[in-house]
Amino acid sequence: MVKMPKRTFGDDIRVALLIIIIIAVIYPIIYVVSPGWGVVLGHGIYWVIALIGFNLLFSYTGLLSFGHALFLGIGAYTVGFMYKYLGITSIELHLLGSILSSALVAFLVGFVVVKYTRIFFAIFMLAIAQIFWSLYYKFFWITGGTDGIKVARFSIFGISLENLDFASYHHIFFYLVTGIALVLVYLMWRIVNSPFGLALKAIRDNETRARFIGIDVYKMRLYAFIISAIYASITGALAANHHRLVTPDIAYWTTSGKVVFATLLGGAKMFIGPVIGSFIFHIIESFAMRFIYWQIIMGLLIVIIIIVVPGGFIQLIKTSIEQGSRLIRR
Amino acid sequence: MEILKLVDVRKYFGGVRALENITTTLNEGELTMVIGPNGAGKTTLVNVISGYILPDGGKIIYSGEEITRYPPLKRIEKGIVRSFQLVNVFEGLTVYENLMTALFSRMKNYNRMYKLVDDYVEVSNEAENLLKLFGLIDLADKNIKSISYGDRKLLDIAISFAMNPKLIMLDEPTSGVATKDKDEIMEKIIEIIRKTKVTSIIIEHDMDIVFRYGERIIAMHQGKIIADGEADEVKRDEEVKRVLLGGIYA
Repeated sequence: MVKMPKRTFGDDIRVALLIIIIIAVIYPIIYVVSPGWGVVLGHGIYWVIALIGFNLLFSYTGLLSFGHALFLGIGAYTVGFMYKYLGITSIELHLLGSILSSALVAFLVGFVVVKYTRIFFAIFMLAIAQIFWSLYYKFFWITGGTDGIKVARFSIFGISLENLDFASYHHIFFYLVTGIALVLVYLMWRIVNSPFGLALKAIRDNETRARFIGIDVYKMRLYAFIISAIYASITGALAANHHRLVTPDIAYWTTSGKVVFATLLGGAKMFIGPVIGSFIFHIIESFAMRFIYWQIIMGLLIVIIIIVVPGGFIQLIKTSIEQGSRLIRR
Repeated sequence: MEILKLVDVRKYFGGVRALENITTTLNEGELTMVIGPNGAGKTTLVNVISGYILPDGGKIIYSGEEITRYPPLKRIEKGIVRSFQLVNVFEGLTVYENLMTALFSRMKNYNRMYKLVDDYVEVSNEAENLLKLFGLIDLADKNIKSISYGDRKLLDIAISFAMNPKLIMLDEPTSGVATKDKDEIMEKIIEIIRKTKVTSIIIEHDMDIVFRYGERIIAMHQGKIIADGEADEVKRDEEVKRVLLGGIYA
């Protein structure tokens, strides 16, 4: 029987899950040595979710969004509003609220925006994200403006974590987001390897042909857009609980840039690229931020990556493994 | 039995009359070759039947139902399938994945998100049968970029057949293919059309192929049908001779 092409390690779900599990295993050691790096790993874990969601749209559907901060903002502000106006601290409800609100916004925005492709889609998304950012920024009596909204420590399964010491609270948060990331990465892998994923790739490659074999291109793009938005909003919701403060920064265009950058850094063409990209980005960012002109370092880095390894770190790893095995065989 | 009827179908592009009051019928299981010089309106004819563009006037009736303003998706659901003049496959997928995509689409499974492609055994078996039918089985796991243009053409047509068409329209299925491979590809296509008894419209420029395989031939010129009938009949038509054949079959 003919089968789907054999997956390389870059598209192997076991590798993706293994990376996250390894991070989770080494996390306690890292935290003991340097709590700051423990926090960085935490960032890395929950950003994986936004990046693989973004990559569903970018690499699998062929739509480059320059405005994914829109959905990170929706997720974060949903948490902020839920706490500020309803006093809700339950992280389960935060996640549920973020999923529902982002799905609704993605449906309304996507209804219009997925009719466009290429630069039109990218700029459209950037514009909409900036509109939302300005709403958070200007409507300060609702959103707190640049001061943002403070969020209390979350509760989980009805248990409040308010009285825990910082380290314990952070450990619980870390392993919670690890669990969520494992589930969502696995789900995304199933999505991209399902008939739906195949249809998305077909649309990406040849929209006209896809339409003339009966694929509803518009609907498929809209579904991908909504899924991608939900993933980003989950990261937004987790970031709000991690920082315990929601400010317009999360919805600013630089956040959208971070999503694109980190995905490219890891490598968009393989499934595990964004997983690697998330960790590498946060590690590099933490180093770079020690310098006053850290943005220059990050900017230079993306230029180098585009020129030297356009396939991202995963491509670099793949090439190294191939060359290494060739040398061993000799 | 009549499957497709065109009544006074018109399509203008500015001052160019691409289709001018086209009226004709196609019977079920019929293999029709459409010939004509460049700009005769052959591709426009396929475009309006498939819904790629809408006509400016006239009616298209398919299996007794008027489909003139139907979008492509609805026509495909009714079994009207086409291929394009240039190869139109999914370049980032393998040969097998191309066919699986078409099969999932036909079976309306293409929006399923959880079950893996490999778990659809029946769909996979059908893809395998199609690959065998079109002689592409050895290329199943190959990327599109690594196979020949002729094989891509065959795959393109296999994708159309995967849709289980009732009416298939192939726009120059051998264009761009090396002369030595043309006959082989056409033989394969005709064999499959005859086996499946699907109503077919084939646009073709190569007159040897047209008169060898065409059961019925429609000759077009400047947006009009100038001859319509069996091969010998069309071959003898004075206007066809003047416009198209230039004395080849005189």
